[in-house]
Amino acid sequence: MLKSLTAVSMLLAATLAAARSPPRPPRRSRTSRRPASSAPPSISGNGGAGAKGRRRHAAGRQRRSFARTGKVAQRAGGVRDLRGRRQGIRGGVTGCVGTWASSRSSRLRAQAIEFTAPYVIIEGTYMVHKDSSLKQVADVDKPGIRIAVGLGSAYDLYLTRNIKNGHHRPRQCRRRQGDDRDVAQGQARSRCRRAQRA
Amino acid sequence: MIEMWLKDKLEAAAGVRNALEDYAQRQTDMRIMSDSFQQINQAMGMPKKEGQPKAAGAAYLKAFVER
Repeated sequence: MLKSLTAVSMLLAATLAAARSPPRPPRRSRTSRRPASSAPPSISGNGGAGAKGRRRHAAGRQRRSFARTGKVAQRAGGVRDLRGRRQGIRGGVTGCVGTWASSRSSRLRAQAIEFTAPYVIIEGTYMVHKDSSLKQVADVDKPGIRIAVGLGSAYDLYLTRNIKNGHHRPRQCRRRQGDDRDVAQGQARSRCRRAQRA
Repeated sequence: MIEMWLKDKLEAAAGVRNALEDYAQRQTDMRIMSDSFQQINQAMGMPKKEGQPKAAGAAYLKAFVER
């Protein structure tokens, strides 16, 4: 039993949330560098921008989830690091951390991967000013409402696809200053300037 | 992201609940919505062999997560 476990142990983010959005043709984005069309589904995870972004945003619950992956790998006879590199055992325990934000890729992965029940649920939600008239999530997707979003985050991709009436503005960051996407009517336009090096 | 939200006086800031809560705790005039626009379920998984889960490993993982 342990042998088969030692073969591969991995952590994956299973997304059920994007069920609201119909499957779309693959689109390159910062959160899914792997071409979405690559079938059979790769099980190696992306471990790129998504994982990095998540680590940056990681709060208590997520940190515990990483710890848990480490634990199961240890019990299975090896240790892996967050990027999924093998850590000092033969045969290899690989752990991968990734975030996928589309139901399409979740279904593809389910063909190749047997998932457990979720052990942690990461929620994307909105913060507003205390006296704001916006009370719940449904109030936000309205004409004239502008949303600040971390550029390239998993929820950035989700919002780009799903916000119909509001305006969604990825955060300006060092590399892509002035990036400003307007996703009204579901049509994403992107305007990018190269950042002047400080 | 939050700096932009404050600077440009945008109506809402999207984010992961934990991260937003961390920030809002230190402020007095922020509010976080109780519902969410997206839920990402984190699970563990094992590769299937010819479409079938590897019985022992998958059972072990399931038991581990549920404990």
